[in-house]
Amino acid sequence: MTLGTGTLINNGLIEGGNGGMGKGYHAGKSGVGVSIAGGEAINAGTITAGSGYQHVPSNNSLNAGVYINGGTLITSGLISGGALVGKTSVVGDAVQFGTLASTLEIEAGARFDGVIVGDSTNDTLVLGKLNGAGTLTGLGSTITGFTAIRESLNAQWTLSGTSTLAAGTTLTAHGTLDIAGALGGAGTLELTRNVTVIATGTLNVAAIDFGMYEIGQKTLVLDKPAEVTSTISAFHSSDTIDLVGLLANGVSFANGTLTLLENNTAVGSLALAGDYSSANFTLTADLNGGTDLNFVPPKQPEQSSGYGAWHVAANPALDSLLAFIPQGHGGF
Amino acid sequence: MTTISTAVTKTVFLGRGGIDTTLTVTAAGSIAPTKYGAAGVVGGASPGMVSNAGTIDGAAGSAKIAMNGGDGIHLAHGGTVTNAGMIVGGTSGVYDFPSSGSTLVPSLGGVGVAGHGVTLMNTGSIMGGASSISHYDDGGGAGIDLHHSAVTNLGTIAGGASNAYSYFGGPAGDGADLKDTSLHNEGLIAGGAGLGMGNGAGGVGVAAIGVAQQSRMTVPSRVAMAAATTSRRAITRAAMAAAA
Repeated sequence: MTLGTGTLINNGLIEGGNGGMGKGYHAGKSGVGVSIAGGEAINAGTITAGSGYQHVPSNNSLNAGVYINGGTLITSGLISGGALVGKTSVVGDAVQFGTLASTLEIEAGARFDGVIVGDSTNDTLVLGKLNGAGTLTGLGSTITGFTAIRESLNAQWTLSGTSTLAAGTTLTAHGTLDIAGALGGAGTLELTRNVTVIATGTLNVAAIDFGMYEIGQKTLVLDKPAEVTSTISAFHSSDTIDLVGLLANGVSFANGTLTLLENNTAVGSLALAGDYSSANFTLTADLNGGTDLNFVPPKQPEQSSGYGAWHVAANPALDSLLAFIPQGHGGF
Repeated sequence: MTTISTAVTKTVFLGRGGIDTTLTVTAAGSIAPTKYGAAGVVGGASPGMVSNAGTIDGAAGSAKIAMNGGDGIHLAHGGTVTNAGMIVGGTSGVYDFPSSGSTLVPSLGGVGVAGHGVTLMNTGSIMGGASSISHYDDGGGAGIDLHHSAVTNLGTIAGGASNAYSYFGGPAGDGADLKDTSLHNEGLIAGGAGLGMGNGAGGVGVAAIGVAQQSRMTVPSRVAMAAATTSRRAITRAAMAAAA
């Protein structure tokens, strides 16, 4: 008889037990609140690790609120690491990951006492949409070790405070993402289809990727375009960079730098990776005191062959790919 | 259907000895076997059904040798448990210094409700058995230990405490040890606590292993002791030392 599906739903309270005092030597470990090895756990209640004693500094007796080693945890509730007996401050991790690939989905309203620690190899953090718009604080400081951070389709999230993407980490916006504080680091911010990223704060990740193969409107709103040092890649048709508060009426592209001009005077610049020319860009007023930057497809001569004709997509990167396809043999 | 409204001091075997596979224990009824390590209710070869508004206890393990406490209810072949009363695993037996050798075989408290293919609805209390107040390593039992089952909890489920008067305390029981089991919790599920002077690890609140996943024994050392308690029937002193 098989009844179980490996699904755990918690709307109540789950708590690990307190560790033993250990007669003044090494205290016993506190109990994990929930240990997950596969399946799916959905928490809208409270999960907390037990408390522990600490007689010497090397004696880490505290455990995590949730330990996950494979599977998915979706939470809109409270998850708390263990606390030292007699003290109110939480020291244990809120969520700790094992070696198996695991996913933590945070919904609006979720709270954590203690840090969230991925294992830096294969764990995914999802910013969910089940409870509407959410705010995430501590990315890169109290939330670390994720190789992929993904916003759910059509979700709305705000990054507050200082956020950092470590090298090898990609944050994929898939709805509306407001960078209200500062977002930096050696990682990548990726825009997928039909997405708006609003950088009201400082945006200085190593790379901003518009997604070479992603189709659909993608808009990057830069409230402080002069402070952006990220290298932007795959900027192509249907993409827009809104340069808030920056008036420009001309561009010049050379050596990977797009210089924005106001009556032939440089007023800003962006680093763009790709085989562009100045003619690939157009500027229009954003109707809010700033300027919209868009990509202009290069005019391509119609290619004729014995098998019909095709038109090259307006994408310099795609142009490069197509250059390897022998003409006159149909291509795709 | 069999109804118990008095105090029964022997294990009730469903489907045997005049007991139906459907059992009701009223608020006035209790099952508390006196034989060391005996379970309160044991299912038969076919699924059983237990409705409890009274008290069902597993018996304590022997006070002289390493022996686990009895489970409160054990349904190896599935069934349904509806609990509005109290179900408690038995207290563990006592382990003390071995006369020879270095491998310890401590005992554990009994599980509150154990089984495979069980549908459990709890609005009362289910507790794992505590360890005896011992010198070494005896641990608490899980509140529930279920495989391929479905659990709805509106009451309290808790693992048994670990009690030791020396340094080497055993692990407390997990609140719920689950494998391929669905859990819907609206109440309280708690791991047992390490009590006394020992260094017993606190029990995990819920230890859940999903479909086609690896054993919890892969949990790294930094969370090992509390998380790695599914197969605790043979805990060694080495494992205890590693977790300290």
